Amino acid sequence: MAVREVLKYPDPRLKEIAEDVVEINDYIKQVITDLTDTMEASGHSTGIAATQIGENVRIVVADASKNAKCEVNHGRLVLINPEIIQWEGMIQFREGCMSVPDYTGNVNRAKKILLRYQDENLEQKVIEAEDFEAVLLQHETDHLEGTLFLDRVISKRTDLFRRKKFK
Amino acid sequence: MTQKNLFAVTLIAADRPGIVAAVSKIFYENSFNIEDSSSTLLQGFFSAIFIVSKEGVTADDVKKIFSGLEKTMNIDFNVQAMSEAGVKPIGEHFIISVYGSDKPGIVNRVAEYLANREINIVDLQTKVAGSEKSPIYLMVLEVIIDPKMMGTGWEDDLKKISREMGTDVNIRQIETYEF
Repeated sequence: MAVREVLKYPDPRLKEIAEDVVEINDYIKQVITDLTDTMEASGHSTGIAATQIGENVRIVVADASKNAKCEVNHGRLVLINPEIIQWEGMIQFREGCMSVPDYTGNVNRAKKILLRYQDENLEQKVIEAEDFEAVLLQHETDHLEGTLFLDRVISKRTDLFRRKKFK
Repeated sequence: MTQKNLFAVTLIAADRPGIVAAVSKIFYENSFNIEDSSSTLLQGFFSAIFIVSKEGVTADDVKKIFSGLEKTMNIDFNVQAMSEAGVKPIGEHFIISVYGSDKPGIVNRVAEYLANREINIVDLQTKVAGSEKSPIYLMVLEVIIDPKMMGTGWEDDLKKISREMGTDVNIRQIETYEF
């Protein structure tokens, strides 16, 4: 068991694009264990990306069931090479991030997503996630691209008065 | 943590490019830290509040530093020392939108009700939109509801007040999650 330090911005490693996982070896297994331990140790955390512990590989561990308000979810997920392949609808949350302490901002996310990933045996899977779980998975997969929620924050004031018109 | 020597520097000026550049240059060259700021355009006037910190100066000193800019850019500055920060309210965040045909007293009716219930307004914006013939008044507030206030019917009260004013109201909770 290893609870790792969660990197805080402006650590440059948070802006790196993570590498694909091509085989399950001891290193990958250790990253998965460390991600799980670190997420559990933080108490309130519902997800963590390998980027956040300084490992430049495309792995996310998430567990939307840790949020009592999230009734529909897939429980704990280990996502290897996750890729969002479909987006639908829009939902706004005020997000914060373990890697950006003491700041929250409004972010628009897809309300429903289709996520393709590989499990711990590198078997390909596709799941549909909605609402909180969809937002969580979008936030975490963003980390693998070096994208923080700060890159997606929308102005509170602009958003309240000037909704974008979709034609 | 020791208390910082904080000042509120506020300005309202006819909008044009270069106001923020000129003001921030003065802060930078005189070693002020901008701790917090908010600016927006109100009826064509750029309105800004900067909370800045610097040790060993008084509000009068800060005001003097801006006197040059007051003349060259014709901007009025107000400087106020901030003795101590208020207590940060804790609770659930809600956005309340009240809108309808323009009539006097909309802001006051809502704000008085919230004050009587000790509900803290942390953000408020109002606008008059629509056409000149039929203006629409919009008010958007962000409030923090103390946990002991949850489920006490404040939402229903606001809906009733809104009905009496002939406006529409929408109340929604802002969910914040740290991922």
